[in-house]
Amino acid sequence: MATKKAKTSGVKGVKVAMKGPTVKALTDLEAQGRPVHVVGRIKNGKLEIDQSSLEEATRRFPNANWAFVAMNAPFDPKQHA
Amino acid sequence: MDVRALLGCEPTVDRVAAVARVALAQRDSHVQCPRYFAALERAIQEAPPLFAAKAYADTYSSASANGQWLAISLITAAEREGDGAARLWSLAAFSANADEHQLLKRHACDESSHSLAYLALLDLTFPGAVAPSFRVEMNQLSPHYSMGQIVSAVEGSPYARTPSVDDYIQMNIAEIRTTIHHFMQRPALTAHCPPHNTRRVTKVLDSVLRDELNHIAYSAILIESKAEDLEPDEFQALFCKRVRDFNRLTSEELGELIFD
Repeated sequence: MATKKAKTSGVKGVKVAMKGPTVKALTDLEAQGRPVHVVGRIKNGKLEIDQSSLEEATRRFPNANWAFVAMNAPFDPKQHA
Repeated sequence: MDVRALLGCEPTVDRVAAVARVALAQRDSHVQCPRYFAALERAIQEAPPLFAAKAYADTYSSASANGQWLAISLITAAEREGDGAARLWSLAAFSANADEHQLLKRHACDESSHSLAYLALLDLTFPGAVAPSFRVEMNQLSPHYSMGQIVSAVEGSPYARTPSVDDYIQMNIAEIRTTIHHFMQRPALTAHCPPHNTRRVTKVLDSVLRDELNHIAYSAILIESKAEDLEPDEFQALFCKRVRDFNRLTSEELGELIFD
């Protein structure tokens, strides 16, 4: 079965990694109004989200849980100047 | 330009400096910060921030259409705000200047509250999305700092150091990105939020945005003042380096999502 090419954005040189069948599957899923459910725990002060919850969230964008994060403090442990 | 105009702005690189200008005008309309703005504008011209690109906003919009993704994004934001608060708390502990100490302490307390604010947004936008026991545990993501506490560095923190102009440049750039994320979060949260909670979501978002703009403004003022201690070329080179560093960091976070 032929698969569609990855969807590209309108910005030259920038590609959004989103395959046709995945988009359709997700669109269908969202149309069905699948409920949001996140399973996890806090272990030694660190957040742990269960793989099943992450897979559901990152079906369209792998590793998307690391993107668009909030940052409000210095980001380099090594200081210059 | 004011905050309302900023919220409706197209996602372009011009929005980076516009966010800083609005932030400063909100805090004190008489403060100009010419060295800061000249350095910021040259740095973003040399290395346009990825987070200001339309493709970045479009990718967020697509990802956040998935409620599960958005819910996890809010939880991750709560974790990162808590982590940032601890870094700022450590910096505050090592600040010899009383005014800077207070500003950093206030900033750390704000971020500590923002960690809880993101969890409130989770509760309001996705009621019942997490088990009550997990939700209670999540409150640990905030260090629960308050102005009544005595500041002491977090043990082992690499940020337990005297704050420098470099630290303020880094936090200023990071805060501008967080503010731009905020602009993208608003419509996404509204789209998923039950109608009866929309007003409360907006109220939480307004409060967080007010704080973020204030953090951009105070760090810009400190950068302006501390820039005097550096040679102009040295200051510009440092600003450009940190914008490049942050672009790399943003690109790494995006991983497979967007690439040149």
